[in-house]
Amino acid sequence: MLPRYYEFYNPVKVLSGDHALENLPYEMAHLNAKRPILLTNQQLVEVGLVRILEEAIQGSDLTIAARFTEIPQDSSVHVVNAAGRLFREAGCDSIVALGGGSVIDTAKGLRVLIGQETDDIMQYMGADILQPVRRVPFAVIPTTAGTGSEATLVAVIAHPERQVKMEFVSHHLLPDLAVLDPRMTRSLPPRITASTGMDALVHAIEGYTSIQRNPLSDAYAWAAIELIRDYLPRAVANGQDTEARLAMANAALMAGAAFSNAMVGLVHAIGHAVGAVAKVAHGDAMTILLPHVMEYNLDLLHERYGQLLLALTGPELYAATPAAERGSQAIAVVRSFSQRLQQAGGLPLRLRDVGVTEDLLPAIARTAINDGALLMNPKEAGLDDVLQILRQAL
Amino acid sequence: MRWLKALLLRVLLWFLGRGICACARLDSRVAAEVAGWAEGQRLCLDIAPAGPAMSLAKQAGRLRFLGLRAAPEADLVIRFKHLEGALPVFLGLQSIAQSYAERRMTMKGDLTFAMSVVRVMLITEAYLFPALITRRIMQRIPPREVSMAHVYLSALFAA
Repeated sequence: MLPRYYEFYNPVKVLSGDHALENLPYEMAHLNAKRPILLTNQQLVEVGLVRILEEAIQGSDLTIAARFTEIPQDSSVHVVNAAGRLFREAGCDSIVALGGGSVIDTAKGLRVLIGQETDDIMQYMGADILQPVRRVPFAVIPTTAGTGSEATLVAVIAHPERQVKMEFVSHHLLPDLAVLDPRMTRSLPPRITASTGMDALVHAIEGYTSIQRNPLSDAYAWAAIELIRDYLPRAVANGQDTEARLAMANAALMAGAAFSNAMVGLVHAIGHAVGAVAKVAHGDAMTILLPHVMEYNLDLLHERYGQLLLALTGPELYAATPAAERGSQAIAVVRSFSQRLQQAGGLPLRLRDVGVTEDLLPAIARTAINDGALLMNPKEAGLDDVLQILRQAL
Repeated sequence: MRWLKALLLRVLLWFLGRGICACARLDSRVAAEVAGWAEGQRLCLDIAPAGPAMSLAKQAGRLRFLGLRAAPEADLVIRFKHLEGALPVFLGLQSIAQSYAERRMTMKGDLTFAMSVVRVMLITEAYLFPALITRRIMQRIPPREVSMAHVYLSALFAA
């Protein structure tokens, strides 16, 4: 059934596959970009990913005018401001982000800073309020297959002094280009491959069930789940499996496009809080919480989860499962998928496995109910509900 | 008809604004939410392109109705894109979550504060609208701690 009203927007041009990086200069030229700033981190320089990019664009008209590598795990307004100073000093005209979620969020923050011609991005936090006065071409080269940030309209940037996690939601944050080159994720260890892949699965499942879902976001979410089902175990088992790596990069992007247009729900609301209070890696929190939140939502979403059983397992099990049991069966499949990844990649399955203790749960729950993702969950959840889910996941 | 809808929205915003202030005095859950807001914090509900609008501020520890006017420099500005998108929300026919899901509004400011505001609006709506209406937009209607009449009288005469 069509929603009474919906919006969908995904202008990102996707370059996916062999030698995708080599196409970057051509595409940037079409965006009138010649002197990008490269945002990345030191670790990615050391493992040689930046060198691969530099070799790929060698001899072209595209010149990396500045390189900014001081990006920590959680980006902050100071990092964005420092990148902004470098952008202006070096006379850059565009942004290339090579990295994971933090690097891409920093790049989005920089696009706000330069695009709005401001020195204070805090005044632009919120939803749908950006009106850039300068267009800044923006390409993203993801090095993990999970966040999907290369296809989302969201950025989260901390303001340590004001103790605020600034959220920016705007279609002006969507990159112009997403470059999915299997060389970029080949060196990811199995543990991170599994964790980030599960993050993408949660994006797709929550996007498919959110109150903002729509037929187009459903299509992206569905395609992402099928790819993750088939290729995440392969990518975890053998990082050199180029087909699996590329499939997971595509899955993460599709899941990102899905949730960029449908938003996420309770798994993310609680997961963000688990990350903020207990410093648990985002993908691990997603893996642990997903089945528990699905159980919580089941009475309202049994039909929707039942549909997902087809994407999660394929036609045989779906057809063999009575319609009334498909929703709960989908949860069982998610659990068994996580367990397979635990055995292959060492993923945690309980909150206590990642250092969360019972005394932290009330603070996590209080933080979770202030997360905007909670609003998009089809089943309302209050403080007590969140606490109950956390206790089950402990 | 547009002027009539704008007039209706002015009435609804007036009751909502003063209703929230009344609930901040009479309902422990709203009082607890407002207690967590910083002194001087301001909230503005606005409808593009030219209003109506309503603003609230926390002053001297109490929530105050600033009137049917926009406060563009407020800490949180929730701005509906047009009258037609705003009306169902303020008539109690559509939840603010569903309205946000339909991208009917923009939000300027801290989205964490916005979540507290949403909870306050939900509780206030449970007083301003009969259960027949709130059942359509809430899965769990917050129980009333005082009567509807009490909140309405307080909104009319004491805010």
